[in-house]
This record gives sequence, structure tokens and C-alpha cells, in this order.
Amino acid sequence: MSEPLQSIGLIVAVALFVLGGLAFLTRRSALVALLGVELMANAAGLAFLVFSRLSGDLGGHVFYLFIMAVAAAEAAVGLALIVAYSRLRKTTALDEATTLQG
Amino acid sequence: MTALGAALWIFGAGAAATAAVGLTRRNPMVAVVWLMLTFGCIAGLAAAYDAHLVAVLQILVYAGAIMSLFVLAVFLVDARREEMLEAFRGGPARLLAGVAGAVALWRWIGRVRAFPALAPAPAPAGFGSPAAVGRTLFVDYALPFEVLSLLLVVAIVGAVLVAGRPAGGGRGGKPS
Repeated sequence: MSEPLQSIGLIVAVALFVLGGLAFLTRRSALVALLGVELMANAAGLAFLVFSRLSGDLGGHVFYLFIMAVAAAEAAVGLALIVAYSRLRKTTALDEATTLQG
Repeated sequence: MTALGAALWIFGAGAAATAAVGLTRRNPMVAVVWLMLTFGCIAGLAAAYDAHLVAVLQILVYAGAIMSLFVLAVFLVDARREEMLEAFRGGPARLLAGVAGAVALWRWIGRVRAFPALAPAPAPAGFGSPAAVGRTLFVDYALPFEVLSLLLVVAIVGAVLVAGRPAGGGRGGKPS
């Protein structure tokens, strides 16, 4: 194999990060936008794992666990907000959430 | 190509492809199921990089717990109405975001491939095992670990407060 071992992990990590960011920026459904954010967090964690393997330091794995916990908290709060908002407006379309615009 | 290289290619291509398909679906339930596959592929990549404990936790927590939370939320917000939505917003901005993302990805790939091929030493025995990760977590990172548990408690209380408020109700109403 001509590619060094870490190339694939890092390329996949940034590809997933870009995909998640695009979904967050362009999707109308708040649920799918939040899915994109989860994917971005996970992609960052994957980069941690690759560099942890390269350096032989287990701190990267620990940080992955931290990212996982923060993502769980973020999903809980974000989904609660989306559910509360959809009860109020009967939709989760992000471009219709204009109440706070002047 | 070694077995490890083949696993990296398969799981890496699988993760990128399932994420691209999932994030462009109209029905959020379909998107969630595709993203479950993506997180499964990332678990495979983690195992290929000798992160065995993390790979198992990835399946349990990400593909299991967090994604089932999303499934429940899709139940609560009425997926059929979601499906009627136009999938994307922002016309020219969308194009600009796509071009910027593609350029960023292209430049990154070039930079990674120009990276000197660090041949990583074979992983030491027990690298990524529950014992080794647990020792690092509870000895070197004990304080951040405890602070994180506080964060989770705050998040749970906040989620119950936000979602438990009755529809159209005022402040301090009983959770419905």
C-alpha cells in the first residue's frame, strides 16, 4: 500500500467534518442540521484517534470519550429545544425561525 | 495491500458514502438510519487504529444511545410534515458553501499526502485496551472526568426544563 497508514483516517475525518458542516449550513430541517453537528464532533474525535495511534499517547482516546460525552449532552439539549420549538410552531424549518430577527 | 489497509479503505469509504447519502435524505428518519451506519463505520476505523475500547463505546453510545434519542425526537416532531419540507435552504449561499467545502477538502488531502510517512511503531501491548485507557482516564484526567459529569447533569436538567414545558404555556407550568 503506497499510502501511509494515517492518511486514510485523516482524509476521512476531514471529509466527514466538511459533510457535517455543509449539512448544518444548508439543511432546512433542524433535526438533520443537528445530525450534521454530531458528525462534525465525531470526525474531530477520529482525528484524535489517528494522532493517538501515531504518537502512542492514550490521551487521544480519553479526549474521544470526552467528545462523546459532550456530544451526548449537546444532543439531549438540542433535541429538547427542537421538540419544544416544533410544539410551538408545528415545524422545524430553520429558515422560518425568525422571531428574534429585528 | 495488507488486511489493515483493506479495512481502512472499506470503513473509510463506507463512512464517507453513508454520511453523504444520509445527510441529503428528505425524511429525517431515513437520515438517522444512514448516520447509524456511518457511526458504525467510524467504529470500524477506530478498531483499525487500535482503539478497541473506543470502538465498542462508539457503537454503544453513538450508534446506540444518541441515535435512538434522535429517533424519539423524530417521532415527536412528526416526520411526515418534515418530509414535505424543501430539503435545503439558501440558494446562492448553498453553492458557495459547497465550493468552499470542496476546496477545503482538496487542499487538506494534498497536505495530508505530502505529510512525511511516519511509519508508526507497532502499538505497545494493551494499547487502547480498557485497562490502559481507564488508567489514563482515572489517573491523569480525573478532574476533567468529574467536571464532565457535572456538565451531563446540567444538560439533563436543562433538557427536562426546556422540553417539559406545556405547549403555549407560561413559565413554571407543570411538565406535561
